[in-house]
Order: sequence, then structure tokens, then C-alpha cells
Amino acid sequence: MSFIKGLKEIYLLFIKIGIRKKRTILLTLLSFTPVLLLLIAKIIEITKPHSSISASHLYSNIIVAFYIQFIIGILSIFYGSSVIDEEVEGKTLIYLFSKPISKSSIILGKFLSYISIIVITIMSGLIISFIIAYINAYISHKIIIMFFKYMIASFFAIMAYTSLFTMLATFFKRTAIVGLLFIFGWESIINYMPGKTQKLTIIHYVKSLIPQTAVNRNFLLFHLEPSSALTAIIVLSLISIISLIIGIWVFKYKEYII
Amino acid sequence: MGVIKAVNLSKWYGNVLGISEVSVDINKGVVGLLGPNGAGKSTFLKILAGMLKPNLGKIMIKGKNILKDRELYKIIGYCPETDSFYMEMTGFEFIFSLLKLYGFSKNESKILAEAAIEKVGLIARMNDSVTTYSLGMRQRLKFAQSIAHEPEIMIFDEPLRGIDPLWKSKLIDLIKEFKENGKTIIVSSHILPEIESITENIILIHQGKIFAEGNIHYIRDLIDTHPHMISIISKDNRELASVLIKENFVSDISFKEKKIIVKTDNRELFYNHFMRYIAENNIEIFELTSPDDNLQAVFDYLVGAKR
Repeated sequence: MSFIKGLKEIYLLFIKIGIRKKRTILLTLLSFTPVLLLLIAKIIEITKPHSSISASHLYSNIIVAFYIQFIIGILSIFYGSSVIDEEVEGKTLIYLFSKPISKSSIILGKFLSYISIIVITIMSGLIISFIIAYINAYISHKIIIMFFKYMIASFFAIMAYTSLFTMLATFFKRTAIVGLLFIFGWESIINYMPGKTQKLTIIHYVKSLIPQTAVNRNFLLFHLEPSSALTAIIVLSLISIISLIIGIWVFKYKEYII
Repeated sequence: MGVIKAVNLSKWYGNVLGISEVSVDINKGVVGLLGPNGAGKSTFLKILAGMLKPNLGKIMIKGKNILKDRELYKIIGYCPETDSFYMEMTGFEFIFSLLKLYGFSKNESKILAEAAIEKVGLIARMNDSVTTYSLGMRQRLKFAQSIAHEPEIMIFDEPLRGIDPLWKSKLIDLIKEFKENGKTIIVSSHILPEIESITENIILIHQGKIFAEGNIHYIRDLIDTHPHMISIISKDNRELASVLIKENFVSDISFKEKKIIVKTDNRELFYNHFMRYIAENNIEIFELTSPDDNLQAVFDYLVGAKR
């Protein structure tokens, strides 16, 4: 079977499997928590017009605090590591290895299907959050650009983290633990160090892509010394591509216990 | 040249030996791969199916190296030993999705999946989640996925494990039918009577090496003539032992925990006399087992005899 056909069949198979997993339901619920928070804020804003709470004001903080710094990381850890881990632990790799499909198609097809699930989950959360936040507000050209910047930053964050954890899963067992340490250890600590050290984290480049509003600059990005958007895109793309190439190569040549 | 030709295959996992210098030619028909647990059967079958790469040697399928030609996977059906599935699927979806991975169209996959599911008697349950299946049903489903694409070569690793007697018999008939249709079939088991009911042509594997190959009567004769052990638990073990030791066909008696272990050179005679004795004297027997009926004991005996 050709590489592309194999890729397509594996992609379709794991989309079907992926969306039915209990994990998907739980992570989707988790990723809609910010939507719920914004909805509460919007209800308060509408019912108590003189209240200091404004959903549109909260939007930036919620996107950064929940999606960029937390939910994307969690989803990437669980889906990225599952590309390999669940096949090895569930002993289902045998069904894939006995088919006329190249190993590259298997790992890449499954990776793409899980990436699609994360992208759809996160993007729908972002879109719904945006609609809730700005439903009764004037949407300027600036706000639209801000929204698209969040979408782009989220996309690159998903790609970089998920590729990285997929690659790590080809080397190690139980990559989720390594992933959690990476996201909530390394990324969280180094990210807040001043100077060039923060450039050793993925989150630095992701934050470099998001709008530097007065709100998030004072609150969450206090120490950020952003790289240029172009540099951030190049670095995040390189992390994604190199991680995937290494992951595919290891998966192709490593012998898994099947 | 056989359909499958293995030349000096060796495989080890770190320091653990999987198989060692295995060479075998397999032709059309059914071959039984017989060996105790841990003998290297699954490793050998996975290498044959192209899923593991041997450290040494090569495997040729119809004259081609399987590791260099993935198209050969289309003519091989593999039923794994492990009870593993994509649990998010129904039985039908499981077979259908795996058929799509062979390159079949949706329509072809649907027809082939239903035909395979029908063969293993799961039509009525095919739209139920795999999680609701019993062990026997999952075994049959696993069997179905290995035959669904109508492969020329079928490799079944312990296919009858966990299946009820009725379906065991039906699957055996199915395997025989495949043989009649000119397929090349390899069936592994550690249970001699299972293999005996499928084929006379066997390969004995032990400690990663091919120990013997040929007609099953060879091993059956050895089993029937080698000293046989019988374990008995009765109400009064000492009384029973004192009676049995007087018999010519009993060569040795020993006590182990609450059991009497009897060694006999003629088990047919032993059972005839023993049954008559307990019936006539109304002796209460709680357990009567034969540890020698498992292949490990037979192999231990054969390995000892060869040394």
C-alpha cells in the first residue's frame, strides 16, 4: 500500500477510535472549563451592568492562563504520548504491524488523527469563548486580529508539544509522567526567569505569538522578553518537524515488545 | 522450496533467548507448532509473519524476503495469542477497520468482514461493543480478523485458548476446510490433543529450538511409553499406597504434601486396575490428575532421553 493511502487509512481508523475514548470526553470537558467561566462572567456582566466583571476583559487572561499554559499542555501530553504508549500497553501494535502499511504511515497517521482531535477541541473552545466574551460588544479590527493571534499561537503550541511528546513516547515508557514534569516543572519555572534562559522553553515562543495586551503583560507575562513572531514561528515549526522526524525514525527501527 | 522457508533463525531479547538456529520448510497444508509455554512458539510465529526481525538468519515467503516486501503481508493472516483489541469498537468495526488497512474498499471490507464474522458465529453480536464479549467470543473475533482477507498463509497462535468445546470443534473444522482449499496454515498450541485433532504434521519446539518435526505419532508413541506420573488424593493415602505398591505396573510411589505420586510404565493397565480396585473397595478419591499429560513433562522426558 502506498504511503499516502496507508496514512489516510490509519488517520481514519484513529479518528474513529480517538473520539470514542473516555479520555477524549474528559479532556473535552476540561477544555471547556474556560467557556463555562466566561459564560458565568457574561451572565454577571449582563445581569449586573455596574459590576466590575467584564467577560471581554477576562478573555485574554483566560486564554493565556487556561488554554496556553495549561489545557494545551495537558492535551498534548495525553494524546502525544498515547500515539505509542497505548499501542504498546494495549498490545494492539500487532494488528498494525501485520498489515501492508509502512511504520512511518502508522505513526504519522495516528499522530495526525490525534492532532486533529486536539485542534478541534481547543479551537472550538477558543471560538465559543470569543463568541461569549464579545457577543454584545463592539468587535473592532484589533480584536479580530487578537483572536486570530490566539488561534495561531494555540495551533503552534499544539503542534510543538504533541510532536515532542510523541517523540519522547518512542523512547520511553509512561511518557505522560515525563510530560507532566516538563510542562509543570521545566516550562513553568524557566519561563519566568528573566533574560535569555526563558528561550529554552517552548512556552516562551508560544507567548511571543500572543498579543501583548496591557492586561496580560502585567499579569501573566510579567517577565516575558518576547522573541519576534517570525522567530517564534520558525522555532516552534522546527521543534515540531525535528521531533516528528526523530519519532518516525525511532519508531521505524526500534523493536517494540508486541 | 516450501511456501515458507526459515533459515537459521535466531532471536534474543537482551540476554533472553527467543529462538535459536531454527530452520524449517513449510508447505501447503496444516502444520502444528507444539511446545510448552515459553518454548519460543510466539516469537517464531511473529518472525514468520514479518512482525519481528530475527537477529540472525532469514525468512522467505514464496521466495521473497518478507522484511523487504511489505506487499507480502497481504497474503498472510495472523491471529495473535494476546487478548488485545481496540475496545472502543464493535466486533464488526474491528474487522472492517483492519480490512481497510489491507487496502480494500469500503464495500469489499463490509462484505469480507460480514463473511468472516459469520464463519465464527458472531453475526448476532457483531454490532455490540467488543467490551461486552466473553473471552471465547473475543478469541473468535481475533480468529475472524486473521482470515477475513482470505490470506494464502494463515498463522494462528494458540487460536483455541478460552473457546468452548462446541466452537473449538467448529474452528478445527474451519481450519481443515482452509487446508482443503490449498492454504498454508501454522497452528501453535501447548496442548497435544488440540494439535492432534487438527493435523498429523507437527514441529516440536522447546527452549527456542526445533526439537523434532514430522508425524504426530512419533510424539504420541513416546508419551505412551515413557514412565507416567499420576497424582492421587484419597481419604486414606497410606492405605491406598500400600495396595498400589504391590502391583507390577507401579514402579515407584512417593508422597508429596497431601498427594500420592504414582509412577507407572503402563498407564492403561494402571487405570484399569485402579478403577476396579476403588470401585470394589469403595475407596473415596478426591482428586486424580496426571501431571505428565502436559507438554512440559513430555518435553522434559524427551530432552532427557536425547541427552
